[in-house]
Amino acid sequence: MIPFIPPGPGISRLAIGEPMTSKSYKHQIQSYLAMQFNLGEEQIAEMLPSFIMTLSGHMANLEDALKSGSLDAMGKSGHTIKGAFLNLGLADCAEIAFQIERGGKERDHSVDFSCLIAALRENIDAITNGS
Amino acid sequence: MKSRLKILIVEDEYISRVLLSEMLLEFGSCFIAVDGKEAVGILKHSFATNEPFDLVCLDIRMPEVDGLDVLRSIREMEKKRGLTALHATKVIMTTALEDSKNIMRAFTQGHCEAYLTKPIERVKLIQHLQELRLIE
Repeated sequence: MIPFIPPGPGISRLAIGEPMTSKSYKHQIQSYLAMQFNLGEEQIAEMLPSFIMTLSGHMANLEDALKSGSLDAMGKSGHTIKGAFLNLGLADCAEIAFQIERGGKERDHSVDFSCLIAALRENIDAITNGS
Repeated sequence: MKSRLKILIVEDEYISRVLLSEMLLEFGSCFIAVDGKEAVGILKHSFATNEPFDLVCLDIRMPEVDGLDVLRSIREMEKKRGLTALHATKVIMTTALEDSKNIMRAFTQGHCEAYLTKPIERVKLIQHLQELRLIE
């Protein structure tokens, strides 16, 4: 079971295991980049593949940190991927990443890191599928 | 006020780095450092050649040499060269919203000029640049 996550946009969807589709994630990212950074359609199309690849890399680092059992590494990797999600307008994913970051930094063994990281993986897969 | 700014972006996360440089490109030349150690090297060289940066955007949380250490280095280099606050490099710290302790440290110990929280907002960035009299 995923531990309680405060209500927020998208969080409830994640909690019941229904991540957004690849298409809706991409649309969300594209809209956010256009609105927030004033980027044109072509610029976004150029940037998006490298952004998605970067997210996959951050995710792999997070999973490596989980495998190693290092709370410190999970805190750091959680922080890095959180910043990336925030700048792409993915606040729901950033919230989960923040829980990982905080749990790691506070060395809180009561946090279910496996579950949180699995939830993020599901969302990363939805973002990367079809890219 | 310069027509083109010389800007250094210090950020260890690729997406944040690209988006920040994309926003700042219209105001000048953007140089990139991917961590604090690299940033200190670039800054040393810029002071040594008497071509300092007009603006440094500095991520607080980075591995090994963090943003606060880089900020301290900048102020030490300026002090050594006798640069007054008026001619000091303008520094905008970038960080997460919950990192208030480090933001306070950056203001009190490093005399940074402004901070931006992630997600970076273009409107706020431009507002800071105007307040710092870097752009009109």
